[in-house]
Amino acid sequence: MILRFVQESIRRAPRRKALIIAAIAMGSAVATSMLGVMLDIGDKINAELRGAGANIVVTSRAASLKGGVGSISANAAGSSNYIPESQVPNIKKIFWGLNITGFAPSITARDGALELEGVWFSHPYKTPDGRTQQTGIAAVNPAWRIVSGRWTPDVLNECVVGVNVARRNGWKAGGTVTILGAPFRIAGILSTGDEADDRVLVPLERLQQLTGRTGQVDRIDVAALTKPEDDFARRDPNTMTEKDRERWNCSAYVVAIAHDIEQALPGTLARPVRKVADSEGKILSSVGGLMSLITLVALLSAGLTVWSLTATTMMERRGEIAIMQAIGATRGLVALLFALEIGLVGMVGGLAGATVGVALARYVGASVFHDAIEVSWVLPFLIVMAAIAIAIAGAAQPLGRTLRMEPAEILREGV
Amino acid sequence: MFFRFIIGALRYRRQRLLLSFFALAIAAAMATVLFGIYGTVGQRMREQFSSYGANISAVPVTGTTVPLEIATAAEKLGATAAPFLITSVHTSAEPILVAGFIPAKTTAMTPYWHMKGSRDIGPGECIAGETLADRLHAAIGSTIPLEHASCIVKGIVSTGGAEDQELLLDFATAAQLSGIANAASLIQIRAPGDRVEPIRQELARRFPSADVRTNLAVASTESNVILKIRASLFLLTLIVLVITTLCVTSNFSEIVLERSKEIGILKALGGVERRIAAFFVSESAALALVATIAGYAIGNFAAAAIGREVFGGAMRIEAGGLVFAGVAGVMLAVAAIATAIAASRIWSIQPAIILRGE
Repeated sequence: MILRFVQESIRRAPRRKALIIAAIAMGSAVATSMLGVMLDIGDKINAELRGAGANIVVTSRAASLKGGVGSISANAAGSSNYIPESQVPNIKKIFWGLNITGFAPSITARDGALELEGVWFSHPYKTPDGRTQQTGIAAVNPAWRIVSGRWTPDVLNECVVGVNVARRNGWKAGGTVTILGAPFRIAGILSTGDEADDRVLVPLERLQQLTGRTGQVDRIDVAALTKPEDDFARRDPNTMTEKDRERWNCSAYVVAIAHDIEQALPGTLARPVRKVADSEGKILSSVGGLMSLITLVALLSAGLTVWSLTATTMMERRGEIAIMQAIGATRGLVALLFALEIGLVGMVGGLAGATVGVALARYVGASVFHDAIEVSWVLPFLIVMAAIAIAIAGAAQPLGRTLRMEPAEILREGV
Repeated sequence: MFFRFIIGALRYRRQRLLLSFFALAIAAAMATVLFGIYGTVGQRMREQFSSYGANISAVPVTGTTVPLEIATAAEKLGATAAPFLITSVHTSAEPILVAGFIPAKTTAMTPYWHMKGSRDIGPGECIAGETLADRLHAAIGSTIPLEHASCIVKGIVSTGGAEDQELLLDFATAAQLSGIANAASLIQIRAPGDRVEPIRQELARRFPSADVRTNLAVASTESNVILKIRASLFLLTLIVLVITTLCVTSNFSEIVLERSKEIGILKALGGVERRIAAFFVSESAALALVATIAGYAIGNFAAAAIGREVFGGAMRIEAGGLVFAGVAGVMLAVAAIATAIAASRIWSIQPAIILRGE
């Protein structure tokens, strides 16, 4: 009987039903696409912001106690002023290992006026789960550009020359130069707009050999995906209660990640690069805030539209309700029938809208970020639930009012 | 008669029209919010990006200094510029790196300096980098002896960058210590995000003795991120606008379709089809206009509140007259077209059949 009621209702006014379903579908589509984009855009922008380079710099604790310019070393007892290269991949073993998008160990040296930096260009390393991945200076600094030639794939007798050094010495990509007595082929000329323009980058292993510092690195640049810092992040973890400390450690704050790195690489000092870390925090929170407020506005409007629409429909069907009551249907039965019908309409509209919305969110991701937006199945599910709930809620008030009225009164009006 | 029809329609069907009005106003508000935010988001995000500091720097090609006029020239071009003079100085124990800077010019460009104490220093005062302060066991208020003078530490700075190892002095003192006049080791320049390249080129052309370079990490990240945020907002605005327009269209068709009976009576009384259609179109247009004004007011308020909440600062109008014109234009056009299409049925309505109740 319930089925027949719904069937009949749709058969008699298919156009009207289609309009309501379409409207609910449109509201759900707006809500789904907005929410889908909003929930993922933070991660996408975070990844884009990695273009600004490393946000954590790791140095040896002892080296940081040393002066900047040819100073007398003041090593703390028992610690060395370098980081063992074998320890470097341990960075990926920290709790936040998956948030580390790249790391680049380096040592510096001089050959006369030439500033040299030994780096990993694109270096394989073993991840904690046993796979082999590549990282290095190009991964940490995606904004850097090779203006002529190419990056070297860590070939021992190749180097990459900063654009300033190349101009000063008249060096060209493809040429050969002698550095620290060893011949190097210039693989490419690098333009960065910062200090690297004044340097010659050579493979780390080769510079270690030439300077007799095998297995040593001076500093590691780390690029990590972080959560914007709030007041809580700025507290000192050493003065926190056990519970707060756990929460602090379990948030991907840049300070928490730096802290983890210091634990994983004993004897090191990991410091957030404030210029990068603070700025990206600011930008991420404003993008996040902006998107969530816009989404809130969109959700509110979609909800209100669906609400007002079902309310209108119910008002128009007062006559129908009155007739049902007049021929003996109880209030409960009428309410149930209409709730079921509207619930069904809400579900169909919600499902259609959520499907379209997911597709739209994916489309925005693909066309803007060239990377699909991940939409969890929970989102469409919640949207369908919300569509049903709002449709029924919108119908409830006019339905209730009609049910309390005398059927005769309504029927006499001829509405 | 014309107005009596419209006013009568408004009075008689108040509740139904109120609901239509409500739906239309929401659509207009939504469009206003999205257009308003989309229009100003680029500029406001650029302001956020200024915390990355300089996006251009001028360094010597040969030698150790660049002329100070670069800073003045950059400021004339609409950028901010802060010169730094870096030298090394012998203290009683060890040589340290000293950087001279002009506090008033540097503040805006280095919001990322984490300061303890003050960053405003004058002659005889200095700021110590955090690691340097640790090494020298210096605290705020202590005195650091330099070659021929000494300075009182007014603040400790922590940046995670080169500053941590440096002793920051005021520019004039550093110039005296190094014996360099009218020149700097490095000039940091912050150009407005959309004019980085022209300003860099102009400076490079006028000062061939300096290497004026764009910091790719800062400049390209900024343009990249802003481009992507604007593109996502654009697409979302477009999606919402298309969907809202569809909803609004059906709303206007409803206004005509559900009143077949009324049309039948009007026709039976001798109403001319064109005239009846004109009634409906003007009714829809009036509704659209009022809804747009209300929606625009609400949307503008919402957009301003969002702007204030997210970017701080005072409430400012996000959606200007152009947005209003756009939203009103679309609403009126949709109202007119949707109603006109629905009104084409008026010609085919047979009063007798409709009034009989079929």
